[in-house]
Amino acid sequence: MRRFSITAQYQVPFVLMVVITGLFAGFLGMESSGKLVEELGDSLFSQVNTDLYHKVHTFLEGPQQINRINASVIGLGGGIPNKTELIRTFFAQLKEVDSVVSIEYADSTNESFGVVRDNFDVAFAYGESGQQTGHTYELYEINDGMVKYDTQLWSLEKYDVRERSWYKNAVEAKTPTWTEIYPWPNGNVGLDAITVIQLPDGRQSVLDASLTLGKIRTFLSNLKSDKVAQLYILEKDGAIVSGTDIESPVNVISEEIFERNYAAQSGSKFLRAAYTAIIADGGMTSAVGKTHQVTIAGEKSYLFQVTKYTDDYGLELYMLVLVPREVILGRATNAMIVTILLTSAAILISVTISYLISNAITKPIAKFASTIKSFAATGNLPELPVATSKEMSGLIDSFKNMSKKIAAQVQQLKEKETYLAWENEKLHSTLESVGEGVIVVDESQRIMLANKLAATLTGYSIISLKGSRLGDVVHLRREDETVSVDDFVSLALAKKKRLETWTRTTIVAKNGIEVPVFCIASPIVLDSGKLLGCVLVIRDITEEQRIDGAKKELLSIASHQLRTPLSTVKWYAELALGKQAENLRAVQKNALKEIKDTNEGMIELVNTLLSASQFELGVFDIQLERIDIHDLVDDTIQFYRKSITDKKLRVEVEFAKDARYYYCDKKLSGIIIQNLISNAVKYSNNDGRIHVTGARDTKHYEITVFDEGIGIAAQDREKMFSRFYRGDAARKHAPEGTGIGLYIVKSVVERCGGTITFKSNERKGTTFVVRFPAKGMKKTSEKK
Amino acid sequence: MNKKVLIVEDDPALAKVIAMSLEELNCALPIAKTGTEAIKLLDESVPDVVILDLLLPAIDGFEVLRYMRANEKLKEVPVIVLTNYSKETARKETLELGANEFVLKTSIHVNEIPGLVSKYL
Repeated sequence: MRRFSITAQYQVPFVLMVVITGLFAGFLGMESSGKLVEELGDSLFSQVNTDLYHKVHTFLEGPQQINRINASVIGLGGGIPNKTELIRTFFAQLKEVDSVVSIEYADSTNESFGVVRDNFDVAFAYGESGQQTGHTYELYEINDGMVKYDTQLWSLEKYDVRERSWYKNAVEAKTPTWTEIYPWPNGNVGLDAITVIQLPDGRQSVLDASLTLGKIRTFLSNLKSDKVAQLYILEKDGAIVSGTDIESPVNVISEEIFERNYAAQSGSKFLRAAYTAIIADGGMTSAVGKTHQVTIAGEKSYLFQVTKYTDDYGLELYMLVLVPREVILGRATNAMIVTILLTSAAILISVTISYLISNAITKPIAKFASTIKSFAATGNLPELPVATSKEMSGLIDSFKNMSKKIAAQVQQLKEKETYLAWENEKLHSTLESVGEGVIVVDESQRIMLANKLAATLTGYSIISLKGSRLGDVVHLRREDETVSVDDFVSLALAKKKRLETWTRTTIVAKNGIEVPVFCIASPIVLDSGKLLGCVLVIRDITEEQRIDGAKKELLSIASHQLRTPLSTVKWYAELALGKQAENLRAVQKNALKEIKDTNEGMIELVNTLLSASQFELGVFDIQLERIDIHDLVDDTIQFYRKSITDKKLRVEVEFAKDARYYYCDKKLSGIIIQNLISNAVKYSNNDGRIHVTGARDTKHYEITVFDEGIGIAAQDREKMFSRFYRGDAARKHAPEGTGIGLYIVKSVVERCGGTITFKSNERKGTTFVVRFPAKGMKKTSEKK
Repeated sequence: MNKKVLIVEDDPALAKVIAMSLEELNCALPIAKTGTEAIKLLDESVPDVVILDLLLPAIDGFEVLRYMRANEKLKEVPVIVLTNYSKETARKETLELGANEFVLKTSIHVNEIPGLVSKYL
């Protein structure tokens, strides 16, 4: 998304506004005459009409409202009209509401009464007819609310209100309505608002409030102060109701006979011309809402509009408003020019102010933005702009605070960076100085770190090692079989335990060079238990193996050289004591026997010494396999069968079912078992018992060898496993021992990850307990 | 024709006692004191059994064994390794090279030597 500068965002719309306003003003100028003006005139016309309509409506509603109020008054009185009350109310209403000419009450019992304006509105009269007057209508003068019964204005005998047209109309209509326009006995012409009420006693009452056309004319004349305009109210058929320049809507031919004046024959030239135009337009209904133009000879052109007037009581009239064309256009043009000028001025002012405001807003922001930019680029805090507003001041202050904090944090980060770089350097130097290949992998065995030696051993560069999958670059083999380094590291990760590879493992570099190695996988586990990855240490053991080999060779040669004279003596002595022995004297024979026995002792001593050296030098291998230990014990017992039989020893072997097999080195296990059983046999008294057991639990594999022999004296126990140490009792009991057997056993046991302990009672017997890890022997790198 | 047992042994006293122990077999008992000598004798005539020590000056017993097993004529001749060289791997190695037996000198009675040889005669 493209982003615009804040200045552009603010100012561009203003420039556009100025341009659009200019264009608009130009457009208006071009169209200042003609249609647009006429439409504007229309709109003004329509405003005048709407205004007039509301005023006429308020005026014509007056009589209907009076009826409504009086019906309520009757209703409030329990539905039975109170004559005195009503007359007083009627009179008050008549005096108050100018437009109403008479207010009357009549009912179906032929009772009637009411008040009326008389004598050209100067006086008021009260009229009544009914039982009290013998059904003669009598009209009296009223003064100050009091009926002057002594001043009868006129009377009408055998008056029956029910015969009156307004009464009949009301009963027929049932709802509030108007009578037609009709002449009154007093010479007026008017119309009545009539309402029929059903009284609770079964009577029907009619309320009547009337209006004269003269009243409407007066109203219209007062309404239109501007004499240039003409107003007319017509009925649908063109019958004149009222108008500003019409003397009377009716022609009174005699006291009883009158006729309506019609617009077409009106004395008003305006009304005549307008009505002709209306007829030309298709009649009253279709002329409604349009602006018509009429030209009257010797006069100016007029514009007029027809508005239809209706109310809720069925009245349907038409209002005509005529105004000289020049008046309308003049007003319209003036109004328009004023509007345009004002609008233009307003726009110009607003544009100017907006521009200034936007400038005031955007300039500091733009300046501030460039300051921030410079800060971001250099990291140095430049001089900040002076605040031009409260908001800018707040913004700048916040920025100052923020930039100070950032500067402090940047400083901290720089220090940390330096420290980290140093730490990193340290780590790298450490890694490089380590004499082993070191590879650090993450949990998914992707290489994160490797040192130079690891690169040498794998044949890949440090750079290509990083990010590679461990299994893709580290290829381990053991006895010509591929060993999965992935599985090895996975196991360490899964167990969260340090693991070591077996002996005779080699690493095959990219170029095929194979190097003997010893690998250790150490998972990196946080205190929280979370695994970070694993460190794989690959130790090149070429040199160790070479030294190992040299040591072995030395021992082998030494043993050979030592044994050669021993075997020479052995064989010659044996030979001499063989077939030729009969030629020897007893003394010679004995001497030879001594030589032979001593030689045998020497041979055993050399053998033992060599074994001891072998273990001491650590030049022995552990080859783990599943060994039947029970069998091994049986074989050993078999080997000592002769001594066992001679001493009449009872030997019991008791192995738990799951202890028969153990994952160990057969030869080393043999050395341990053979030594322990040999000792048990050697130091047992005649008829003694030897008990050998095998057992295992989840952690350990255990062999015990118990005898009922001479036991170990308390003072000898500490030195039991020392080289060439022999207790006094042992020396006496078996003088031919070398004192090295237990030393060898202890060496072997410990070198194989086990422990050896014993319990002994002097002269009662000894129990040796050898314990190894349950899963199998394990070569430990250091002699304990 | 008498059988022939070649004794390859650098120690003269031992060579002599071995020969003495084998007298009862009525065999020809040539003795080679070095590996070189052994190969020379082997080239001259094929023996019926070879008693072979391992640690010999210059060409050692392993080389002699290797030479024999690579030689068409000597390939099938039984070889009894009789030595005091007790390196762990020696037994395995010699048997793999084609020796018929590996016996540690100190572990055997002199009277057992004829029986050891006569098995192969």
